[in-house]
Amino acid sequence: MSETDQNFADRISKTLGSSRVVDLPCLPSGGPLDLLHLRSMVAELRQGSAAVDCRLQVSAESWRELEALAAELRAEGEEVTPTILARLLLERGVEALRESRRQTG
Amino acid sequence: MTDLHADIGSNTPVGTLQFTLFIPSVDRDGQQIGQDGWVEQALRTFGALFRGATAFPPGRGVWRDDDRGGTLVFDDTVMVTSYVDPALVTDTTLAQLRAFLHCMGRDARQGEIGIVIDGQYHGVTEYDQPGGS
Repeated sequence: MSETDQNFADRISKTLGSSRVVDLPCLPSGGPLDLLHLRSMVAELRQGSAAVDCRLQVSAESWRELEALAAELRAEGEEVTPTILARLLLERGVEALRESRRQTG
Repeated sequence: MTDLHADIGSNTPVGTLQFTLFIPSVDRDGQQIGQDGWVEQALRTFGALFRGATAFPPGRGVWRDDDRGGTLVFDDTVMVTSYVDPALVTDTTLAQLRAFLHCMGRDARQGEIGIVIDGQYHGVTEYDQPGGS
């Protein structure tokens, strides 16, 4: 297939009508035990599956920084992608906002 | 170098993309959805579109629904997996797969339909209406 991985993922997402796309780090290889792992990972995703659209646009500069940080972490053995980092940072920001409101509220 | 395919008398392997669909046993309210029927339909869909698929028996699962006062929801998810030739992943086959996924999401009253394709989880939460797109 000549299209890039990103184009392929975008085509899949658009054609299926996906509301969210989540990279799965440490993707199982497909053996029976790995499929159990995959089922567990997806169960966790689905448990928090309120209707949200996680497809966000970020500035090119921010994306480059996320890519660089992800590359640094991968070099240290962490299985992480820029998308995962973006999600973690967003969740951390929301949690900080939530905590701030609790304290002032 | 040994020609593995010749040695074992096989054809060239073509299925390199892993598609795994997750079929729950209950709807968003914890009611049974007739899982066997949906598994059958998923196998028929994958078989017709991608030449084959395997359903893996359910594993007992549970999760806490905090939006409903911490109610425990038991769900025995079946996985339907297919190794797909990339050449078969066309807009036409994807449109037919979409039709099935959206039908299951709508008719089985799912909060989200989940399918893993080539290392990415795709969650579908807004479903096409019958006869529409």
